[in-house]
Amino acid sequence: MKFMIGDLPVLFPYDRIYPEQFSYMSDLKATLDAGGHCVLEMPSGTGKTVSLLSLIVSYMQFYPTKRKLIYCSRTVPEIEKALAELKRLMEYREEMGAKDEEFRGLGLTSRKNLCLHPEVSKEKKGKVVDSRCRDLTSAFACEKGRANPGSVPLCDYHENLNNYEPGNLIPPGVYTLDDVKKYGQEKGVCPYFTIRRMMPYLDIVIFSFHYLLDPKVAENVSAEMSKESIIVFDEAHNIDNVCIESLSVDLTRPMLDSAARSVNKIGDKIEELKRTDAEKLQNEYEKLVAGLQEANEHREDEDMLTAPVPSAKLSEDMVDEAVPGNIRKAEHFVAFLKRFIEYLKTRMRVLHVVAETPQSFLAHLKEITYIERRPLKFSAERLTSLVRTLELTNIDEHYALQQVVGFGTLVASYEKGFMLILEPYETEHATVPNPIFHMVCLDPSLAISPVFERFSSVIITSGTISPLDMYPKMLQFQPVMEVSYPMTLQRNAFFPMVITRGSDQVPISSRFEVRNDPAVVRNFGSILIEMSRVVPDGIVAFFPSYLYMESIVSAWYDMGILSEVWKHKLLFVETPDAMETSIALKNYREACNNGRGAVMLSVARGKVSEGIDFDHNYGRAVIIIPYQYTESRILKARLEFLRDNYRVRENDYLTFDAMRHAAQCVGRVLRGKTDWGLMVFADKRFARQDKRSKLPKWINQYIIEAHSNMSTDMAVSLAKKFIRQISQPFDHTQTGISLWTLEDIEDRQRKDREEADRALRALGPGAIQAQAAEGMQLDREIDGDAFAPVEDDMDYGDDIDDEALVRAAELHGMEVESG
Amino acid sequence: MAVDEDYAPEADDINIDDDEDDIDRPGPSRQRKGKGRANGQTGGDGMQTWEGAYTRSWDVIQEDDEEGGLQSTVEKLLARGRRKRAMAGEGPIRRSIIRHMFIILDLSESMRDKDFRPTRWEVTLQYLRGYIGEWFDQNPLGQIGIVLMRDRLSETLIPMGGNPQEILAALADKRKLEPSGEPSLQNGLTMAKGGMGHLPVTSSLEILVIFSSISTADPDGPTSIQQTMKDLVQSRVRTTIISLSGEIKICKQISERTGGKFGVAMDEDHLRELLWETIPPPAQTIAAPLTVGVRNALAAGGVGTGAGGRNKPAPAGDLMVMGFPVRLPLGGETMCVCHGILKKGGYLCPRCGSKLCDVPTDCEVCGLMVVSSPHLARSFWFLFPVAEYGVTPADTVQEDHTSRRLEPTCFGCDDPFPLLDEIAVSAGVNQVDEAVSPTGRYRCAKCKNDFCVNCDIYVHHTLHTCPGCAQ
Repeated sequence: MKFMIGDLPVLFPYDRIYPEQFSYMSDLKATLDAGGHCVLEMPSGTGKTVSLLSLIVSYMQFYPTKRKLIYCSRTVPEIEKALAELKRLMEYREEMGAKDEEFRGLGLTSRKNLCLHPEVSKEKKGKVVDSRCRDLTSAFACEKGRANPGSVPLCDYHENLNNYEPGNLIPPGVYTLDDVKKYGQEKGVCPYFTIRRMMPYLDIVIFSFHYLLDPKVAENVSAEMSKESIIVFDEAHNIDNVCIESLSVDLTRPMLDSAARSVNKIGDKIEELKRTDAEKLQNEYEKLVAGLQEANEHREDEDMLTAPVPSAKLSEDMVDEAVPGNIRKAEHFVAFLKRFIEYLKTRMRVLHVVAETPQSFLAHLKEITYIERRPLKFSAERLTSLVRTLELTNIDEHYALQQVVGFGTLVASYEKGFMLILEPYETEHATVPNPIFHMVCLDPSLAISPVFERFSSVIITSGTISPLDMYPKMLQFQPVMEVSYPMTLQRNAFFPMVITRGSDQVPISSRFEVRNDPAVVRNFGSILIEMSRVVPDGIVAFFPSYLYMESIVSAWYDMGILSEVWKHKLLFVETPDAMETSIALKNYREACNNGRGAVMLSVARGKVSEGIDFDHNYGRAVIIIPYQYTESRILKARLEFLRDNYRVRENDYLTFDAMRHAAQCVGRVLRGKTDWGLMVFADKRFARQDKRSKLPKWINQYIIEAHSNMSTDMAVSLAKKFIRQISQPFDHTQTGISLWTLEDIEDRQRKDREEADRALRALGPGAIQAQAAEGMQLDREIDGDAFAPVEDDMDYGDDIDDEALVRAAELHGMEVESG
Repeated sequence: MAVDEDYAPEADDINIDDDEDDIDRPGPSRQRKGKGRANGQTGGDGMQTWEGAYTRSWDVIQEDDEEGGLQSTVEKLLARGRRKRAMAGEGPIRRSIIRHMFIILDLSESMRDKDFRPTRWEVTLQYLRGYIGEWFDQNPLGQIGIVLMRDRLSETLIPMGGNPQEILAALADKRKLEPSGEPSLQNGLTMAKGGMGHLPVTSSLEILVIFSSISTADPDGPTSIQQTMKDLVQSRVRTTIISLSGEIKICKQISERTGGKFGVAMDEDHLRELLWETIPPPAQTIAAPLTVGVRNALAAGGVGTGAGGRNKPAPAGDLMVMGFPVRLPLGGETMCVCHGILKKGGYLCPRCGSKLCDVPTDCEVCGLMVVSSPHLARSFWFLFPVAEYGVTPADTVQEDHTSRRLEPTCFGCDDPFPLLDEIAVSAGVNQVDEAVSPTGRYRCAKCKNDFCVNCDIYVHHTLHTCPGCAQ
C-alpha cells in the first residue's frame, strides 16, 4: 500500500498495516526531520523491521540528500532476516514503479560465514579463518605473489576481485548473505571483500553492532560513512552491555604465558631480520621518527591489530604526537613488552581481590618497572607497525599478545570510567587460584559516543527497552523522541500473572536470603507441576543463574517434583555449552511438535533468553523466577560509577536491569499477533507497582490488578480458563481494529489534523499564520523533487488527500488503490 | 414441545450459560438432558468446597442495563443459535450417510480432574451414552466402535458395530473404564485405523477423539505420530478431536489435515455442544471416486470390494450395493456369522444367505451392506432440510394487519404473538440482533405461516419438516 506521512509518500509492502506500525513510522519520520536521536519501543512480532526499512528507504529515495542507512542488528540470523525483508521491500517498490535503479543494499558478517576458499572455509573457528584468510590476502602477500607467482599461496577469489571496477563489484540491488555467496561462487570472487570494498558505495548496510561499537573493528569498517547516515540499532536493549564488553579486556595466566611466548618469537624474528634485511627495520624506525602514520595504507587487511580505543580519543592525542622514542626501535619495544608482561604476572600472584583505578595501576607500574604512561598508550599502534614490518603470518597465534597490548593501551588511555579488578579465585569456594585480571569499562557511553557525535540520526529500538529514560542517561545522549507503543490486539492473546504465594500461602521470592528455603523451592516446583499439567505443548522457565538452576533442580529431584513433571512433559535444561543446548533445543521442539509437551529450563541472560524464539506451540507459557543479581565486584563497581557520575541510583539500575531481562524472557513466547501465551512472574516483588511499571508498556497494559497478586491455585484455575478460551476458534481478520487499511490511515490522519487545527485555533490567529507560512515553505522545498507532485497552490492541510495521491500516480504511471 | 420454561431470568441466573447451549442443541436430546444435568449436580454436591476451582460467579452473568435485566443477553444467545443455523446454509451438500466411526476415549489420569463436575470422567461417560443413542438415531446406517487409551496403551472396548445396545452395554460397566496412566494418541489412532481397515471405501471413515490429557506419551518407535497422521490423511479418515484442556498443536494439526474439526471444551455444556456437532453426517469434501468401485463390481455382478476402478472420476449420483435382509422367526437357535455363537432370531443376507445378528451391518461373508428400509428412510432428512424461517419485520406485520391477513397466534403451538402496539413500543429499544425477529414471528417462506421462536427451534432441530407446508 502507499500512503502519505506528512509530505512523504511511503510504500509499504503489505496491504494492511498495524496501527503501531503507522505511529512508529510517523515518529520515525519526525525524528529524521529533526535530525536527532530517538529511542523507540515496539512489541516484538509487530513488524518493526519492515516499518523501519520501508519508511527509511522511502525517506532516502524521496529527499534529494544522499543519506545512507546503517542498520545494526545483533545476530547473523537477524541480519539475514532484515536483508530478506529489505529485498522484499525493494521488489515491491519496483512493482509499484518507484525508481531505485542505483540502489544497493548488502549485509556484512565475518569471514567465517562468507568464505569460499576450498580449504579456509572448512575451518571451524572464526579466528582461524580470519588469520588464514589474512595470510592469503594481506598486502605484502599479494605483492609478493603477484611479483613472483607461485612463491606465496594466494586466494583466487580475492585476486579475481581486481578484474572488476572498484565501485561496481556487484550489480545494484539488494543481496542477502546467501545471495552474495552465490554470486561470489558464480563469478569466482570473494564475497567478504566484495562487501568490504563496496561499503562506501552502498545505500544500505546491515551488520552487527560490533562493526560500529567495537573500536577495534569500527575503525576499519565504518570510517568512511558519511555524517548524514542514518544509524539504526535494532534489538538494542543490551546495547550498554555491548558497549562495555567492547572496551573491556580480561587477562588470565595462560594468556600471559602465551603472550610471553609470542614476544620471544617476535624477538627471534627481529634478530633474524636484522641479519638479513636490517634496512627494513631502519626504515620503519625512520618512519616512526617522522611520526608518519601509515595506517591508511592497507586498512582492510589488519583489522585485528588496531588499537582498541575509539579513534576520536586516540586521534586527538596523536595529531601532534609521534610514537615515543623509547619504543621506536624494534628490540626496545620487545624488551618493553617483556617487562610489561612480567609485571602483570607478578600482579597475578596476589591471592586477594584487588580493585584499583587506572591511575594507581600506572603509578605502581612506573614505580616497579619504569614503564611510563605514554609508551604504553602507543604500544598497540607500535605492535601493528611491527607486525607489518616483520610480515608475520598466522596472526591468531599472537592473539594473547594483542590482548595484553590492548590492555596496556586501554589502561594508559583512560583515566575515568574504568576499573581494574583482580580476582584470584574463579568462584567463592574455589581453593585453587585461577586469577583473572579484568580491565572493566564502567561507562557504556565511551564506546558509543563517537557514533552519536559523528552521525546526525541514531535510532535505538527494540521490543523491550523500558524504561526509556534509562538509555539516554546511560549512553549520554539527547533523544528528540522517546516512545513506547502499546499493542493493539483483538483479543487478549497473552495473559500475564504475578504469583506471589504458593498454595500454602508462603510468599514466593527469589531473594538471596530465602531462595534456598525448602518451602520456597517447593513452591517454585509446585508452580512448575501445576503449569505443566495445564499448559499444552511447550513451557519455558527462566532462572536467574546457572548456579541457582542447578541447585534448585537437584532439590526438586530429591523432593520428587521432577517425576511429577515428567508425567506431563519432558524436561530439558540449558547448559553453558552451546552444543548441548542446541541439541536440547532440537529435542524440545520435537517434543512440542509431537504433542508430548516439554519444559525448557533455561537461564535469563543465557543464550536461550536472548536469541531464540519460542513462538506458538514452542512456548505456550513462560515462567520467570527472576530478579536476583550476583554480588560480583564488577557489578558493584559499575553501580558505584553510575551513581557517582550519572546519578542513577543503585536500586534503580538493578530494577531496570532485572526488568529488562524479565521483559526479554517474556517476549520470547509472544512473537506476533496470532500467537498466544501465558506469562507467569513468580516473585512477590513483581506485585509492587514500582517494579512492574518498569516493564514495557505493551506488557504492562495487560497486567490487571486482580492478576498481580495471586496464589498458585488461583493462577492455575485462571490459566485453565484462559487456555480454554483462547483455544476457541477465532476469526483472525483484524481489519479495522488492529490492522489498518489505507482508509483507516487516512481517517486517522484526518482526525489528527482536526485535532491540530482545533489546538491552533485555541492558540489564536497568529499561530495559524505562522503555520501556514511554514507550510508554504515546505511546499516550495519539495517542489524541486521529481517524486513530489504537490502543486503550488495546494495548501498545507490538504496534501494528504486522495486527489494528490491519484495525481502522483498518474504522473508516474503507477497504480494506486484509491478509495 | 421443547419450550424452555426456565428461561425466565429470575429462575436461575447463574446457569444462564447452560441455557444458552440448550438452544443450539439438536432436539431429541432434550429429554435426556434434564436428567443429565441433575446427575451432574448431585455429583457436584458431594464435593467439598475446597476441592472446587477458584470461580468468580459474578463474572458469569452479563447484565445488559442498569436494572440488571438479562433479557437482551438471552436474546443474544437465541440469535446466536439462529445465526449459526443460517450460516450452515441450505445449499445442496453431498453428505456421507453411511458412516463408520471410532470413538477414541482418553482414560488417562487427567480424566479424574474435577474441573468438570463431578469429574471429567463421569461427565464424558454420561454424555457419551447420550451421544451414542442420538448418533444412531440420526445415522441409522452408521457403525461405531470404541477404543480406549490408558497407561500408554490402547485397547478396543468394542469393535465396529451397528448395535447401540451393545455399545451402551460396554460403556455401562464403569469398573472396566477406570482411568489410569497417560494416553498415547498415536497408539489409539493406529488401533482405530487398524479397526477400520476392512471397511469398504464407500463409507465415510471417521474418528472422534475425546482427549483429556495435555500431552500424549507415544512409543519411541520407528514411526512417529507425524507418520500416523500422514497415514490417516492418506486413507481419508476424518479425525475430529475434542480436547478437554486446551489447544494442543498436534491434535489441531491432525484434525485440520484430515478434514475433521478441533474443539476445546470450555465447560460441561460446551463439551456437549461440541460432541453433538459431530452427529449430523459430514459433508463429503472429497469428490469421491470411491463408489466407482461399487459400480464396477455391480457391473461385474460380483463382490463389492471397491478395490478396483480408482482411475475414473465419479459421475454425479452414484449407486451402491445394499441388500434388504429376510428376518428370521424367533424359533430355534442357529449359528450367526458375525459372532460365531448360537442365537435366536436374526437376519439372512439376501445375497449369500448367511445369518446376521443385527442390521445394519456389512455381511461377514460377502461384504454386502445389509440394511433395513426404515433405516434408509430415516437417513433422509438431511436430503430435504426445512428451509430457514425468515425474520418478520414490524412493517410487514403492520401491512398484513391492515390487509387483515395476520394470524394472532403461532401456527405451531397456538400461543398468541405480542400485539402490534406492544411491538411498536419495544421496537428499537430491545433490538439486539438482526437474526432475532422484533415481532417474535418467524415466517416460513413457502407456506407463509408464522411460528414462534420455540416452534422454530423445534421444527428445525427435531421435526425436520414444516407443519405448514405438510398440510
